Amino acid sequence: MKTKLLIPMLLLLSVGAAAQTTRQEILKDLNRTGANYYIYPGPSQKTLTPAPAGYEPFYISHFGRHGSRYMEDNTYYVYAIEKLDTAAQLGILTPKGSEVLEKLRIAYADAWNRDGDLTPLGGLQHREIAGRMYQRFPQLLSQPLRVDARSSTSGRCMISMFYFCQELQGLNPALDIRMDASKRDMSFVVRDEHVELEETPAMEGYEQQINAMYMKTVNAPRFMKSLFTDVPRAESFVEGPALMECLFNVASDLQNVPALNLSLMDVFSKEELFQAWKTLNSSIMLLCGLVPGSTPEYRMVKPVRDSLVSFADRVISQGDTALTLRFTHDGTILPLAYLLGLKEATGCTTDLENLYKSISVDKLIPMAANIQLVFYRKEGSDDILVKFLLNENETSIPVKTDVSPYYHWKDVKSYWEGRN
Amino acid sequence: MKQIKLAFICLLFLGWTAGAQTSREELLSHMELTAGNYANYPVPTGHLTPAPEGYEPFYISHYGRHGSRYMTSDKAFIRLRESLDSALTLGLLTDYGKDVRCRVETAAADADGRSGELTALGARQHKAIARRMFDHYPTLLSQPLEVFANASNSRRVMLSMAHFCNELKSLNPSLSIAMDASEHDLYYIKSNKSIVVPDSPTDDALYDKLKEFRHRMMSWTPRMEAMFTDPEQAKTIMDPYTFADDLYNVAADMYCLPELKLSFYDLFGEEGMINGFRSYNAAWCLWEGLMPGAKKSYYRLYPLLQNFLDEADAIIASGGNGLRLRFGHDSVVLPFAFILGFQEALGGTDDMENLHNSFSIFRLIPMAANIQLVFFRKAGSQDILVKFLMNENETSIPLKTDCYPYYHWSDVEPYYRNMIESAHLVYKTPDEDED
Repeated sequence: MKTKLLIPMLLLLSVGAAAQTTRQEILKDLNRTGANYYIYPGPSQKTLTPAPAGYEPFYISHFGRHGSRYMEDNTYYVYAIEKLDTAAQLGILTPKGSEVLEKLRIAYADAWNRDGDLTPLGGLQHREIAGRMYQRFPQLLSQPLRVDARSSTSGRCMISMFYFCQELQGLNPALDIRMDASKRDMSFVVRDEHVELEETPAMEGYEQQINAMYMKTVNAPRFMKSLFTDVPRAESFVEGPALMECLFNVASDLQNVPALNLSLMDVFSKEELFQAWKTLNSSIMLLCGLVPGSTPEYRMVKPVRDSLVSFADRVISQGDTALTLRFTHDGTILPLAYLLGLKEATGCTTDLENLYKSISVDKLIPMAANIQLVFYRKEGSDDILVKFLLNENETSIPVKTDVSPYYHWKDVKSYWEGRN
Repeated sequence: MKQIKLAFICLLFLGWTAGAQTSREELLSHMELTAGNYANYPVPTGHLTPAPEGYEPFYISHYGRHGSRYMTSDKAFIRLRESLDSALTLGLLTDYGKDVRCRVETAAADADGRSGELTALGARQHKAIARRMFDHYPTLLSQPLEVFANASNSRRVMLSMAHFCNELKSLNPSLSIAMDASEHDLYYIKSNKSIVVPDSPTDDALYDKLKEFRHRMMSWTPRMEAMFTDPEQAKTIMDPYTFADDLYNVAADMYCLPELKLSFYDLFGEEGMINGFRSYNAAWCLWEGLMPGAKKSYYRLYPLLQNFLDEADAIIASGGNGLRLRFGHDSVVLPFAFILGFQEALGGTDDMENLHNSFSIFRLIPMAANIQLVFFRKAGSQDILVKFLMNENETSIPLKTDCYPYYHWSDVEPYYRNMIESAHLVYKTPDEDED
């Protein structure tokens, strides 16, 4: 058991300091505590490493999560508003409680019947990512290129695709863009829920740990006292942990609707936000199977990686140029990042309390998160190079290369053959 | 030569769409239209009356049905395959029947996992409509205009919107296009089921009449009989009406998938296809309440009318320019054309035998069917003109005007607002809505 723990730790150390996340770093930008609700930060890398002499990009394979969205389930609003409203009628709301209720009402009116929808910011994120793709690879994208775009059948993914494609179309009207969102194509767009996985023995213990972390997160007497003047009376009809969970979700999501200019982050102490983020971070990694010994849920995206390889090989063998765009969910992007071997997605330890130090959900799957594989070839040579971008920043995989951050495609493929 | 051919085709179309009346001869020369609401979008006549002098277009308000699609469910294929497999097992299929079975298998395999999805033709239809819109109103659409588009939450509708908007964007990259498809807006994008439709005492009788009519229209053709060595025995292992109806639907849907190069037309022939069309023509007329004596289910489209009016008034008041696109379904376009008072939608009668002479769904709800209101104004004048287009052809509404096909908004707007008001809409309570 101990050796199991040591190996990932060593791996992590070699991956480099950049992947480490500290408490200070998270609390500097409270939006990050939203974890997978975190709004897309845009690339920190402004200039990309030029390709080795003579190599030209000829194919980009892009996988993107939908952009900023509303909460998938408005019952968080319904519960919180109902409880605070009852308290208001009983006259036991603090001024802070009244302020929270007022904000919830405004936000819910906007979110009404929009459960899970893309927000305007979500559309903008995709337009901007498309715009940067065009600026970064103009030699490829200014051609009358064939673009094959497929989306998950979810509305927010489809509309993300529409914005992305429309931006490209405006930049180059000669692009031949095919868009679809067909149940037939889901095997290579979203994770395959049919893959049967047996739960590992370690899961039970992990889940207990996560539950304990969760209970610690939502058990906050300070929180209740800040909202209600008479906490015992409030507790006769409000479940404190449930209310706190509702408000965590709403507070995390509000950053995705900046037009409202509302924040509920100040309902929580920094310590509470940090604890909530830490718990969510660990539970997401656990449910994806990235924690050593956990059920390997990431295997559900192996068909997605397989199709990535076969699409790329087809473009390569045909000597073609192309762009393929796939619009999907965080539940596909995160395991795909892991299966590809991207450094940001590796390095999970078994220590759920301290997992955040080595892997950070907001760096991987903010809204509009994306993975791009950019392929290069050189005239007169059979050598194909590929580089990996996570959220538009160059990243690495554990494969030796003489041209970092570029990798020889044949080396990449043989690495993936052993990584399942 | 090419020009002569083109002129000839144009003339044909002019003749075809000039009146709302349909004759048998007309149908015979356009058999593809017997696909009814599966028909490929007919190219518009291209005839557009210039606006009165000094009037410029400033706003277009559009509602479009999704383009060509697969059948919305795989039930017809499942039933047909079951029936044909049983017949095969019992040795009831002739060589011709086996050939039909093969074609059904091919079509079913292509449709597998794609129920209700937009086909490639469906995307092309929307691109073509967008392109024509741009060509017809270049002064308006080549500006850096704000475009707001929204769709029902059905995927084929959303993709129709995306293709339409992409085409516009490729023609004018300076357009700023917002797109959405939210439950939030379904109360006007789709038929609003929360609105109570008043009962009609004659509705049940009309449905009985329709049932009898449809069964008569979908009786087996000689070629369908020829599929089986013993047609009478075959009819005992399947429901004959459903079998014919399913085959008609498959035959009609093939017009959405020209790339398959599959046809079931031979099973029906001219007479059979026309009868199939008449069956659905009568059904749609009754379903949507456009037949005298039917329940007025078109009440459920008043929120859409309200949306058209309110948004038009807002842009008129702002003095700005705009383009508003909405994407939805045939179950909206048809009754909406009726409440707007388009001549093509007014010929409903309970004389089902002759209904198709005065009312034809292929004029109203082919794939990608659409309704456009185009608004014009004149510098220095308060007068706003509007014209109405049904599938891009100018049409009329029951109001007097001194500049047909243009109408004064000051006449149109109160006419429609009064219509909504006098409908005294009643909404179901949330509990009733659950049902």
